[in-house]
Amino acid sequence: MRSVLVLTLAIFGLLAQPQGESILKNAITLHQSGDLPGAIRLYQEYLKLRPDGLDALSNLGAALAHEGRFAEAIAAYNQALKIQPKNPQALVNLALAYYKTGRISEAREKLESVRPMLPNNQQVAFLLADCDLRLGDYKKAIALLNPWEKEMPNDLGLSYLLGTALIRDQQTERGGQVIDRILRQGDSAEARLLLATAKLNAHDIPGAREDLEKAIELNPRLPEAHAYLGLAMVSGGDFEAAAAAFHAEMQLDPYNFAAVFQLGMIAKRDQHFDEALSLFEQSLALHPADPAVEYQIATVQLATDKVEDARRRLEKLVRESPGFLEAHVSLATVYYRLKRREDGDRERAIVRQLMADEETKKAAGK
Amino acid sequence: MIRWLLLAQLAALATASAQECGACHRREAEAARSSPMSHALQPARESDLLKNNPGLSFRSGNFSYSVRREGNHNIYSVTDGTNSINAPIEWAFGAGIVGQTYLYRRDGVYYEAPVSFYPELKGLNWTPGHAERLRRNLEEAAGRKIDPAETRRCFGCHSTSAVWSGASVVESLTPGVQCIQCHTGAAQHAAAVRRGDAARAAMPKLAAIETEELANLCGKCHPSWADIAANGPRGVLNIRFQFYRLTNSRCYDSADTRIACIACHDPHGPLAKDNSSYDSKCQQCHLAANANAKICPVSKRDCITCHMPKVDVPELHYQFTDHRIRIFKTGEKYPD
Repeated sequence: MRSVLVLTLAIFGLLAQPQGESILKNAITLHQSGDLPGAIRLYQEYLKLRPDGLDALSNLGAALAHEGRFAEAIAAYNQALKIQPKNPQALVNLALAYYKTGRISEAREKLESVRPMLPNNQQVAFLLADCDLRLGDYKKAIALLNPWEKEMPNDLGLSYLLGTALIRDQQTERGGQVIDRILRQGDSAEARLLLATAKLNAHDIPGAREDLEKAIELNPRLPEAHAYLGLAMVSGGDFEAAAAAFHAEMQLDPYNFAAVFQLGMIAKRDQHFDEALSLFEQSLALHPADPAVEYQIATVQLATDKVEDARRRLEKLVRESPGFLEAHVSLATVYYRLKRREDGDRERAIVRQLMADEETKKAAGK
Repeated sequence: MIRWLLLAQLAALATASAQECGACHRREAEAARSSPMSHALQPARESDLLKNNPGLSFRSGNFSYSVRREGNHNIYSVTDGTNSINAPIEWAFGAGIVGQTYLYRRDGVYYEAPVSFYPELKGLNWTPGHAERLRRNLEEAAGRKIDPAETRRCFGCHSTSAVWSGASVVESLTPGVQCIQCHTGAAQHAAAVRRGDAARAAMPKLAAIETEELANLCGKCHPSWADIAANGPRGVLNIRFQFYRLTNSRCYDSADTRIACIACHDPHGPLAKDNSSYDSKCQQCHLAANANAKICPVSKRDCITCHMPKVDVPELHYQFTDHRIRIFKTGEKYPD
């Protein structure tokens, strides 16, 4: 009996392998011909027979990502990486899937792990720099792009990324040189956006608005242009128009942090606290543990009388970011609301000290 | 029709409450009529400033602005020399001590006029925040569109019963700050008094609440310490946020009601302009018998003239009293 069973399994195994391989071959053919749903079905069929099929998992992830099914694509890439943790293509693809779903921190983590394996890969370097930009690490982005600038001084994409990082890092002079380089190649939406960013930094709101409107006229699909226009409009007190601009940005990129966060701020201003909270939670998913978002959630909690929740969040926030002036201000208010006068007075004293330090720094900088 | 009736009832409630309060609280009700807060908003046709200044004008760059009286109406106008936008002013914001700002409506939407009246200038100049605005065309020069959220906030503080179920019901408002704006529950209190229900008639005595709690109450409309500390402005422009300035005074004590807003200002009456009238408030603490408080070696009179100096804010065309109480030193840097 035992020998019959062994023989059956052996025959089954011999039959299964060629059948599986033909399924994979067919899947690849469909994938190459553009029949992605068909390819996905066959990859999945093959993986039932060969769950450790690395190529199938990788291809399945790519097909799913192409179809916009990012959550499933991420699962496929992660499965592939369990089998071969240092597979560079799977790491890059996973990073791209994270990037496209707005999970920028995770995308950056994967790109940082793959970069030593692909030090000369331009796509990896530029994508990583873009992640740094989106996460506000401008200096890291600049350091990453500097060597590329020497190699490709006329590359518009590189100039745009580097210029943005420099301007946002307040390196106005070098940023201006990069903008000039872009402008020498003719008026472009990208150059206008960069100019507007520089003007926003310099608090020239009308000037920034003009450049942003021009940028959108030149390229209505330019990433971040609508979000920046919204920011300029908020600075000018035009909240209805700003909300429309942020919604336009989200049409192009539902994971744009500035657009989601600012819509939350506008909802809070309009006292639509449930909506504001939901948008701030979305913002937190895009920028995990971002102190500015944590602070806004606390202020909504305070405004909706969830004073204890606000206290817990603010106490954590000031522990982690002791120089966060606004958080100390709100914490003082929370303590007074809770009748903890001495704690309130202490927080107020911290605020005064922080303001005095700020003043001293400003004076020293002059 | 039903909505109109509800609005009319709501308006009647606010007015009736003010009158009803006056039946028992006569002194407060009479004094309140002359308080600046009760004139925080006026229909433009009733604005004395506009009645007394029937032809006002202001010019900047390519645009000319005017406010002229035509019968009972005040017509706001802006022109670039070729075209013009005209609209009747509906509301005058502010009692006119510092200035008065105007709201008009076009296509059902409120706009803030870019020019305000300043008594110091006896004329028009930029409304705060308008000098730096973009004016590329007549439309942009005409004023700032006020969205519904801001409309609710403006009328919510400058009038009574303007906000109802979270929606703006401007048609029903009572201009100015009336009793129920601060005394929450006044309508129920009046009803209970009518019924002779003493138990339910009790109301919290605002004069007795703690300094910080009172600051929260006033802070619903007057920006609080937290508002300014978190959002600015920094520098001399925060002079007009009195509670922020007061809280930063060395003598401020969050537990001591002798330094609360209403310790010096009667919310029911006009603003006392006689400097010496505040001396007794300072002397509540600064007495020889009080070892914790210093006694002024210079004078025992007109304390505020030295310790609460006047500060000129050019953009606002007014000299504000600095509520940051201190030993003022000539030439000192404005303390934030």
